[in-house]
Order: sequence, then C-alpha cells, then structure tokens
Amino acid sequence: MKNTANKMIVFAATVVFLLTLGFSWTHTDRDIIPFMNQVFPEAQSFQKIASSPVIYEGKTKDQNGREEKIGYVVIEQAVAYGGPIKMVTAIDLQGKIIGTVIAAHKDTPSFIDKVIEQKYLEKFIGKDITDPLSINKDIDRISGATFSSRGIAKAVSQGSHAVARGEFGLDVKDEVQPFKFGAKEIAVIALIILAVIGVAFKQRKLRWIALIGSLVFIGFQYNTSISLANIAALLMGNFPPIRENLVWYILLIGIPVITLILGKNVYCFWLCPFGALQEITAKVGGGKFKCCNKGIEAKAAKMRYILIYLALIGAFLTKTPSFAGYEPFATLFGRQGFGIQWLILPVVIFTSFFISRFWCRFFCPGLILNEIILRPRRYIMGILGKGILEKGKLKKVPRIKGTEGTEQLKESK
Amino acid sequence: MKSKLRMADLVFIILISAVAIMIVISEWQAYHAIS
Repeated sequence: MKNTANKMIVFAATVVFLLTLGFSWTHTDRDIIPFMNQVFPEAQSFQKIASSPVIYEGKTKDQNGREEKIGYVVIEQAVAYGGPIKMVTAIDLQGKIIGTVIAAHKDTPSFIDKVIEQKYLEKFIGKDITDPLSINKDIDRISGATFSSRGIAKAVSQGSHAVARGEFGLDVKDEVQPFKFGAKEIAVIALIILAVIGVAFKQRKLRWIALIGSLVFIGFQYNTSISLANIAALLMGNFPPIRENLVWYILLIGIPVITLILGKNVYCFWLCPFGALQEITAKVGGGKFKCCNKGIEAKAAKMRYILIYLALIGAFLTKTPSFAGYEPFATLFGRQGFGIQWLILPVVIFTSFFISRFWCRFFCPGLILNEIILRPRRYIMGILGKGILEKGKLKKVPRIKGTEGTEQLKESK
Repeated sequence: MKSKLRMADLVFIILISAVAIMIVISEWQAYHAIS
C-alpha cells in the first residue's frame, strides 16, 4: 500500500516536473509597449515593420495631423550569464541610438542590479548603428557582471545592425566573436586532466592538488563552479554562445561525459571548489561531529531531493535558470549573494569545521546529479556484466548502495 | 551517555532545519527579485 502511494507521488512529481519544463520552453512576451514609450517618448505611435528581429517605426503627428516617421525601435535579445536578456532600443533618423532599456531578462538579478546601478545603458546613447559595440573597445564592461554587460551589448548591437541593414540600406555585419581561449580555459582543462589521471590511475595524491587548484581557479579566480542554475539552463535550452563560454560547455557537458566513461564522480571529490573548502575546514576543525542516529542523518540527506525539485520547478515556472541556484558558491567566490544568502554561507562554512562536507552531504545537488548519470551506466554495465558472467569471464559488477551520496563520499576517500 | 546522544541529535536537526529554511527563504527572495 505504502509502495503504491510512493509510486503515485513519484509519478505525480515527474508529471509536474515535465509540465513545468515544457512551460519553460514556451515563448511569451511581456507587454513591450511601455518599454517602447520609455525609450522613445517623442513617438506618439508605433507601427510594426519587421519581425526578425521585431522593428517598429516610431511616429508622431505634424501640425496638419499627418503621421510622420521620427525613428525606429528594435527588440532583440542575447544570452547573458543566467539566461537571455531582451533589449528595446530606440534609433533616430540619423542612425544614432537614442535610448535602450531592458524589457525582460532571465539573468541573475544581482548582475542586472549592478548593470543598472552603474548606468551602463546610458553608455549606448549617441552610438552609431554601424558601430560594432564591442566590449572593452566601444563600450566598457561592468566589472563583476561581464556576461550580463556583454549580453546587453550584443543584443543592442544586433538590433541596431538589423535596423541599419533593413531600414538604412547599409552593409553592416554583426561582429563574429573570436573563440575565447585563454588562462581560464587552460586552467580548467588542466585541472580536469589532473582529476581524470587521478581517478583513472587511482593516484590519490593528486586529489589535493586538484582540489586546491579548483579552489583557487574554478572558485575564487573565475567563479565558474557547476551550479543547479547551470543544469536548469541546460534543461531549459538556454545555451550561451560557445565561442565566449567554452568553460560552460566543458563543465556542463564534458564532466558528465567523463563521469559516464570512468564511472566515477570526478567533480565532487576532485574539482568542486566548495567541496575543497569544506575539506580544508574539516581538516582544521576535525569534522568529527557525528549525528548518532543514522536514521535522522539519512532522512536529512533525502531533504536535498525536495530542495532540488522545488528549485528546478521554480526556475521552470519563472523561466529563470538562476532561480535554481540556491548554492552559496556565487556568494563566496563572486561576492554576488543577496539577502539571506549572506547568512547561509557563514552558517555552512562554520558547520563544515565540525561536520565533514556538511553542504555536500545534506544540501548540494552535485551527488544526486552524479547518481543520475551513473545509475543508467551501472544498469547497462550490469546487463553487459551478466552476459559476460554467463560465459564465466567476469565477476558480477557490484552495485554501489544508496543514492544519498554519503556512501560515495566514504568510497572516494 | 544517552542524554548526550539526544543532544547531538537535536543540534543536528536544528542545524539542518535552519539551513533548509534559509534556502527556502533565499528562493522566496530570488522570486521577488525576479518578478
């Protein structure tokens, strides 16, 4: 009876998950007119003249009551850090940008706050529609919100170039971003190679080198640790441009592929910067506190499923991947937390002095995501193993018990 | 000994619950920041 009820709960939860995921893929526009009025207050009416991207003519009435074109408004979007940013840009008849505004965004709110606080949008006013609007050339980026400022510049540039081509008859090409491959990409790839060698050849000594390296580079230097927000973005189809975000693809696609091939958790115990920090704190504080009741500990570990589920459903319903990122990674490594996140971080770090890998064991989605990758692998290996077993060539493949991660944690050590 | 164990349980439950509640509040704050 209880088993049937559990199955029904899982089924209902899966249906809700898939429905909300489907909803996140649907396309809806917020009413764009107020933004057009805000960015082009001189225009008394707007007439749509193109749809890809959407371009409106801004019109006013002359003394005789006849409508007169006074400029254009273009609506274009580009992917920022957490999701797309939709920009509404007004252009006068001389081909100058006279205003731009964010109509909608799915980016991390703290990044957008930074962009607005620093009056970034005003930097576009007076620029020519043929300008490439390259970051750090034509427009300065906002420190601490690089991806957001780049996304905004790209949306404004693509939109104004479309107006230049379509309405001014100019031959303007969108700037093709060069493939970004620098210190960040090299550092991440080097750490992954180190981890793969360590895991594949069981070189445990390399683990601390990889962990310290990840704490420095993936953590504090580049703040690029894998978060549930990235997984939500992946599920929702918000892929950032690969030319500028190679590390995103290496971590989000490369790590699961490596995990699948090796059959081991390469990320959590070798490459996670927050895991590294917690191991260091546990070394300092002893990390010996143990909840004596294993039942309570096991139940507490299962709480993660509910948190992850709610965070993902929230991200799908709000169509905002960054909503799912409840981890304190960005608060620590990027100083980008807001509200109560600034309290979660010290509580978690303080506790991890006494409870080894406190965050990983009871709150982090990492081990669960790893289990989702490894479970089908074990199933396939089990079937293959059975086949070989029948021929008497191989011992049965042992199944790793438990999905909560505590067992994997012990296993890795 | 028994009472010590119970205290450890209690501390653990309070801690875990506090962090979980804080995470839910942070989600709530994120929702309001977005909408």
